[in-house]
Amino acid sequence: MTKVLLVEDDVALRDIYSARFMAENYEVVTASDGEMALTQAVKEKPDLIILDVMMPKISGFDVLDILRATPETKNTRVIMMTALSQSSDIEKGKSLGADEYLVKSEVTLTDVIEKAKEVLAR
Amino acid sequence: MLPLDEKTHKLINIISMVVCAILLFGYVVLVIFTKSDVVFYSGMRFAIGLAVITFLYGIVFNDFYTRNAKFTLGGLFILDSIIPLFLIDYLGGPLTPYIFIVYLMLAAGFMFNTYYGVSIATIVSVYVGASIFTHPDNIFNFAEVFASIIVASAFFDYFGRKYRAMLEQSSSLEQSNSALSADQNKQEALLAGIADGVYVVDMERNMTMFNAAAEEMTGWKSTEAIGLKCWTAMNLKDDTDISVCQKDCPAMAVWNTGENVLRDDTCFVKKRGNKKMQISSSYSPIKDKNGKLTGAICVFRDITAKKDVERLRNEFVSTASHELRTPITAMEGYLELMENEKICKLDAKAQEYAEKARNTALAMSNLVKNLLAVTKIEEGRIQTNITHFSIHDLAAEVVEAMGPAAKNRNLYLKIVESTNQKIKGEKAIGRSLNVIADREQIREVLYNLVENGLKFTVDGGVAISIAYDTDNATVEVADTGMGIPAEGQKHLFEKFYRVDNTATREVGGTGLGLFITRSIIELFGGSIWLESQVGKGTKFFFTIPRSLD
Repeated sequence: MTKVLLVEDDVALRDIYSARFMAENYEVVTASDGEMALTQAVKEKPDLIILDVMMPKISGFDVLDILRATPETKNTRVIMMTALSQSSDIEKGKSLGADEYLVKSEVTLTDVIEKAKEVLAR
Repeated sequence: MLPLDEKTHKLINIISMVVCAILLFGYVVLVIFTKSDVVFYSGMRFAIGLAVITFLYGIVFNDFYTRNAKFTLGGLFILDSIIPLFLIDYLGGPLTPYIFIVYLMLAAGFMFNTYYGVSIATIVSVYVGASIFTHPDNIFNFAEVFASIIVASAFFDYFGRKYRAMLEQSSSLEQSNSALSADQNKQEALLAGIADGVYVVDMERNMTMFNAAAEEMTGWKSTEAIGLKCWTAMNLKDDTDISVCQKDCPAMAVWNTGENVLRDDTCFVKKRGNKKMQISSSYSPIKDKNGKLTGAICVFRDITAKKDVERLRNEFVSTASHELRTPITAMEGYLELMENEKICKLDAKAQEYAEKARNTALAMSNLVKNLLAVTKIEEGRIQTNITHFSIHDLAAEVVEAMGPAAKNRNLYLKIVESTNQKIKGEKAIGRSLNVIADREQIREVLYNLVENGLKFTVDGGVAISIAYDTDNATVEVADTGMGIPAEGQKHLFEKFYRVDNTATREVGGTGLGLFITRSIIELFGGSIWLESQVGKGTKFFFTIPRSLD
């Protein structure tokens, strides 16, 4: 089964995304902050990481940076999720190596699933 | 003219008149009863003369004079002219070497008034003329005196007039000066008393007036500010901290448009303390009595506190809206999971309610999104990514995206040929039909208008058409819906306005959509308006500037 690492600090969203992905027959592991995300990424070796940008302690951008610098996670697929739609942030995400960048307020759960499928198929 | 007060003067008048009356009466009695020559001798004459003069004085400065000026003046002149007669007689006749004293009186008479002078000259001439007859042996001497009186009169009259004119001028000058300075004092007092700052510039934008409130608000003294260019003391900047004085001077705007200009987007830095002060100002032209522009006047007040309050309020709305997003997103998410058959098993009723709840959550989500957009607009913080793009292609995209929604309601949604096309064969000239704006935001605008059109239409549908003229592309979104009454049309673009109508209540909407739409269109230099008829439909029009290439 395809494994998805869900990095999201909001408990409700974590719950919702997990349920949705599991309904689509994905195996889901979660992390509630950047540090945990990095640990999980190395330990669980997920096929896809759904990475929230706005998090306490270290931001999603920093996590992505480190992921891409670590050999084990250099090529892991990453979809960044954010509440903000600043085009500068989108550029930043893409330049740091995100495979896709989604704005939470503009996409539905179904869209996220679709995007995940699409990215995994690449 | 009167050194004493009214009462004292009146008292003196009355006393003198009484004394005169007694003396005159006494004289008449003496003449009649004594038949004596004594009464004609110098002492008596002198006393009589004095009496007459005093009596006349009484009349002149009495009320009677003011009510019957011409009458009393005339009488006064005639009576007063008799005094020189006494004088000549006393001095020993017209051939007296002291005749110059009479000339002095003549000069004084003419200095006072031509008529007075003439009456003195007349009476004296008559006396001298009469003397020629009674003493014919001295005819030449008398004739000489007679002639010189006439000539002297002419001279004295001329100089008398000149003197009076000079006095008149200097007194009227004094009067108007004092009126002017009284006026000026009044004006200064007025301006000093106004709480708002007031300043005036001339056509070269030199500061010519700077009131006390302006001094206090800017930190510049009026003595320092006046005479310098306006922007020395009033260096106005706009919201983005760019100087307004060179490119966007409100005074120049007033002179160009001839109308009052109101600005509430300018600020300046106080001279001492560097405090930034935001002002609301009103500029008006100053014209002279021929209607020609001579300057501009500005009245301004401090709105820094007000703006701070507005900013805080906006920040609050922005923060609150952001905070609302999280729970709303979670709610939408859970409801979506509920409706997902792969995850939950719901009976028909639960399914129905879950769907309704989710739609409500979606509406809330839209409201929050709109609120945030409004706060950004209020703060001027809208981010734009300006590009050249084809409005036709964008419209086609929107039609495709919203097609299903229209179909669900059995309405059509299509692009049609414009009936307003003004320019044909534009392509032949090689100019593109692109527009300049932020593509995503114009998409929002189209989306908004189409959605509104579909919302308020039951039969028929929405048609989009685009027309081009030299400067703009005009997009028309026409529906066959219920229309908007004239009263509603006036307020349509205001925040939270929804047409008050039982039929529309069900339709829903936040009332912010059109406010945001207008703000966006105006941001790109376009305008938006509508035509609507109740029962027939509504047409929204908006313009976007065309690309120049």
